[in-house]
Amino acid sequence: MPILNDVKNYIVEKFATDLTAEELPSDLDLLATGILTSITTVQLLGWCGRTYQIPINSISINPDDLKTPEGIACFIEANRSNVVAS
Amino acid sequence: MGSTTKSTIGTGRLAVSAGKVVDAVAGIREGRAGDRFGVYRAVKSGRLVDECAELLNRGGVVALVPAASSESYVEAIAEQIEFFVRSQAEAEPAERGGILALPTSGSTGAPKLVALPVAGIERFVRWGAAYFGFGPLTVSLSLSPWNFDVSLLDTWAVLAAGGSVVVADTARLHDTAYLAGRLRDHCPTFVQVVPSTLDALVNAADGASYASVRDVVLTGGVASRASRISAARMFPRAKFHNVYGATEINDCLIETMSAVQFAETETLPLGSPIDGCEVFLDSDGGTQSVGHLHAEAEGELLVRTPWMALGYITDGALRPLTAPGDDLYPMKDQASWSDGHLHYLGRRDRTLKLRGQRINLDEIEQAARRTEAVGMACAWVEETGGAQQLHLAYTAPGPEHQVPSGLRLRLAMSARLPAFAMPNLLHPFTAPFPLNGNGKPDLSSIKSRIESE
Repeated sequence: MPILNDVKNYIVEKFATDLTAEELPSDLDLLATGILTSITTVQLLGWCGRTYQIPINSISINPDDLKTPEGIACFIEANRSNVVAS
Repeated sequence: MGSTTKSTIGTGRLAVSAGKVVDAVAGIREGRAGDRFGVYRAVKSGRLVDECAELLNRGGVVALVPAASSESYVEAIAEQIEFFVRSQAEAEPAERGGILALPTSGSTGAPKLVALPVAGIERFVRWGAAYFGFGPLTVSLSLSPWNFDVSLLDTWAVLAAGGSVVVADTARLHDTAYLAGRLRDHCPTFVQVVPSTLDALVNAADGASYASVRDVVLTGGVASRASRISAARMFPRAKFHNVYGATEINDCLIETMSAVQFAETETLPLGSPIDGCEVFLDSDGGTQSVGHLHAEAEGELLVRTPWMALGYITDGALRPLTAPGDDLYPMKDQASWSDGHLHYLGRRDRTLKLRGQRINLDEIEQAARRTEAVGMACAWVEETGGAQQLHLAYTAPGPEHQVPSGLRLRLAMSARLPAFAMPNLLHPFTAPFPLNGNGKPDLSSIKSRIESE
């Protein structure tokens, strides 16, 4: 799943520099473990928007969807498809 | 052993036997000395003890600065002390007695000179001798720098009682062969540690035990449980004492326990007031004496001791420790009273707002240590690119352990802390933390080391 790998790579590069993408579990709660905060979640969303052309200002976002790497990857998949479809 | 020179002084003065200092550190004093004052690098040697005691007993002012201080730092302290002595010349300082001035900050930043009266030090060393039974057979292993207030117990009190002090070069605390040699060759009976020196001892012991040690005093911070368990094995015949205090008031609370209790207690209690000390908890319910607390309470510790400092030496005068009309020293430490014990909660001035939420850096460090996956922990907040980030540097729990991965520590800490108090950036240290002149983790050096990686 290339998007999940991209998400993990972005997270360890920007927010969890003590970890590697390989050791970052797909279901890790990024908020509970301090890797993401309210501010860095906004940064992450900006990256999602730029990289996958997701109109983040015009779609509804459930913060719970962004708690884990796999949740973020699913969010990208879902909203990227919509953009491509339109 | 060092020389046999003695500085035995009569009542009302410090009585020390400098000849009982086992010299292990080359070099004697540096800095300036006059008739009325001296500024000494705290290089451990019998001659330093002799010179300081003589000057103090003549009513002089002695400042001890960290051995590794820069020339400009020593000069700045010397100017402050000289200005103070000259300003006080008409106040008949001989009647007041000598003053030992200890800086409370390391070799960087603005020094804060705490003025300890000789009369107070004398009362303190008498308490120490009585409580720990110091006498001619006492052998103390001095691990901390002599500019650090802990030396008043492990060095001055022991020498005043006729005991011997084996000094350890603070620059060699991570030389395991050297430290093990100090323990093996000199068979100390008394050891006082701060968390970093406890870790150094445990590291040096490598599983060995030392039955000669009868008393171990832990002060100056919170030790990890892993270190306490190792220390209990290392000193199987010792009583352990958790001692609380500050340079300004010296020691004021003590909890004495067995090796088993020291190892098994999850959080060490602060203990009970030392004889003559008054300790209060300033909570919402008012200011209550610790000795009279019954219901659960939480608040700031306020303290008065028989050996309190006279004040801070600044601008040629003594600035009082407390606000006018108030003689209780505010420790800026939060504590709680529950189940008949007083527990340390954290520094008031280490409480801050992070992204709108109130956090306490001590509590975060404690949460890391309580995972038992780390030894030392050091937390701080930095603003990067307009966003506040909570950092945590940490070390392995002991020499036989590996430093845990960031993932493992994050998972363990997330079971103890809310998300807003979780560290955002973790920095594992495979080696012990760099320490400041007072033997505590040196945050600026820790940051520099991280930046250089």
